[in-house]
Amino acid sequence: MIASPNFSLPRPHFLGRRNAVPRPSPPPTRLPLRYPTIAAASAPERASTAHPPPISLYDVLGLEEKANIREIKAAYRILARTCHPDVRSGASADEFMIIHAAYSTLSDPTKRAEYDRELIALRRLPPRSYSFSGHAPRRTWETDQCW
Amino acid sequence: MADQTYTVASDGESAEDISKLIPTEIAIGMDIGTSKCSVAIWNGSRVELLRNTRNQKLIRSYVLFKDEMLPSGGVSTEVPHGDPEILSGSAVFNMKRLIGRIDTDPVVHACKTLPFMVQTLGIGVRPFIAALVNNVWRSTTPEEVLAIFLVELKAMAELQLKRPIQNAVLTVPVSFNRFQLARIERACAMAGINVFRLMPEPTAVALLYAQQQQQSMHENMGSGIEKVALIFSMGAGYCDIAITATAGGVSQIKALLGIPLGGEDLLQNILRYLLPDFERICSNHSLKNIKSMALLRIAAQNAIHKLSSQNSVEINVDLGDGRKISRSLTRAEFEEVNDEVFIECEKLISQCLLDAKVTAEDLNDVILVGGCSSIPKIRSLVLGLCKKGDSYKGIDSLEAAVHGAALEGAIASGINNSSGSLDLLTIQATPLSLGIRVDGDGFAPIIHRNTAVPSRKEMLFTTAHDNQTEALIVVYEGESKKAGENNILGYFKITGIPSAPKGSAEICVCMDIDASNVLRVYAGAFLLGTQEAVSPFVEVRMPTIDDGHGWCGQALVKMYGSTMDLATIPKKV
Repeated sequence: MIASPNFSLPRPHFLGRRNAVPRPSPPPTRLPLRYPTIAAASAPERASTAHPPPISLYDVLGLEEKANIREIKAAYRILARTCHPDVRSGASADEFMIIHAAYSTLSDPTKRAEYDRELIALRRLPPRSYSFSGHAPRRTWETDQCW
Repeated sequence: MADQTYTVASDGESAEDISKLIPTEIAIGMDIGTSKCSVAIWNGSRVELLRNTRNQKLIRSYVLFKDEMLPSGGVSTEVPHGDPEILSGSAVFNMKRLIGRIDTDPVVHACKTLPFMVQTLGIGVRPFIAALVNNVWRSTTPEEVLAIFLVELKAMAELQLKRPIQNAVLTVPVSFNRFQLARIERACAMAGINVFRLMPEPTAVALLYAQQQQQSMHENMGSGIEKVALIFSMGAGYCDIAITATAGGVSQIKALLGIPLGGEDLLQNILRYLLPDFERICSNHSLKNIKSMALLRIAAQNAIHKLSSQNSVEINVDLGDGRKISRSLTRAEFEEVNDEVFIECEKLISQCLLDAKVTAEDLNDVILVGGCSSIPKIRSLVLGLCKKGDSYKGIDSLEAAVHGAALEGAIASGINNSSGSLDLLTIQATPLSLGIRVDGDGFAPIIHRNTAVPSRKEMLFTTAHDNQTEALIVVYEGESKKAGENNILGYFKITGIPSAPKGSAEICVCMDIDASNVLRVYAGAFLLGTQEAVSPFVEVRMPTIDDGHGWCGQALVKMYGSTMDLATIPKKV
């Protein structure tokens, strides 16, 4: 039930972080306890079961990357109405938190622009990196961060 | 046998059996106001406010202590208690201004002019509160008073609905800290009420607004356009603001802000203006003084009410102790005397707009609720700042909050309505930042205010000393950069931190607010240079502190100094 904190999360790798000093291990995304299970399991599993590809914030909200702010807000609301624990009693809050994190980045023009740049950087990786867990894309992104 | 006696849930279980036959129990909505309370319920098609035996929907909140009988809130008495009796020192009221506050709190000090006894020692403990019974000051507590009142409200609802009531959604002031919320929950528990949700007052209004918007959308076949509204709620005790973005029945709280400022402050300013000596007279709780101050209070209250609709009012009151006050009071005077209150309100609105990142032009509606919303100056200042000609119509300013609470009660009870009028959701936000003490008396917020709930955030900290193996996690809530000025919620210790030079060990602190607004703090140390926990993380549900909590922060510093301090990790640029 409770996972040990030695997980590295795929979750924030698309949120991006600015660490000038490349670290051998990912920076503070080692969430203790229940967090790893969410990001590692529930979010990607919703997208695909066997080999979860890294999902973007747009995928979380089920949007295309050219979506406008109205579409982003609408998608967020629709998802909130199905995933918010107030609506689905007994549901875990994790799914909503992932959706909200995606929304709060994409609904803020500055954060979204920054994220879009990171996303492009991520995509330039050889496809092989995708098969690794969170580490590889992150590290490559950090070397690429002149973007 | 024994099992049954000791099973806490046995009551609920038997109720569940019945509920298979009758419709699911719908939680009631309760608005516990500083001066008036109300109860409402979703009746299957709409929200209905419940009435007491005197046919009132808004019930004055007070509890009268009498020797020969149980203390009574007068909810169901046939003949209402009159002002002279309520203001005789025998009744305790304004409990919402007192609950969960310590004796150094200015709000508690302002309560000392009330007819019952509020005694403070200024040492950070709960104030001493007492009601006059047979010429003796009998002690009580705000929770006890609130519980007695809630029992009567519950009985009133049960009588009308002809079924036992267990679950309720209550509205609370935005500025209430988690300690105060815990006290409200305790009062509810004492009254046998299971709290489904404690909703900040303006967010209950936001829910009602969302429902109205959704209905008009259905009627006009609208395209789900987002509407942004500012809700200004000012009652007798608190001034609260919420900015909500609503579309498709989802109300997203963008910002929440509140302060303990209300009609009671306006009244006290006027009392001081009419009788500069007023505070000194109140401090002496002689029977004669209580009586004369009660007369003055009644006269001032009436005058303020009248000034909402007329420009000037005559005050003629014989205080019975040789003093007579005979004069006129104009609206201009009232506004001048209360200038500071109005400035505070303006500041609050400007700050809330800033927090929500919206401008007055972005607002589609301005909703004014609460007893003070009928004061012309309040209306003009809110509408002026929001650049609106008029406020939103279609919401009853005194019933909006309880209406919203009853809607939430129905939604939280899992009621579905075929017409879709309960397809609503409020995405709540945290009104206060949550964090821990670091770098001496610094405050490091981990969950910032106005973060959408549920939420989970983590932060890494490090040790303040070389070879430090233990660290204190002291959890605070508030906006001050100094931890000591915020509200302490609890503390615990992390042990077994690997020995290392200061600044190199890593301690992870994670805060989690679930959908029921329960706060849990997790913390633990990592093995040097790894992501492995030294030992299992500690999980603590907050608040953990009870009585005398004003002392805890200082006591910890006195006992441990900085030996177990944490430090922030400098940001790498």
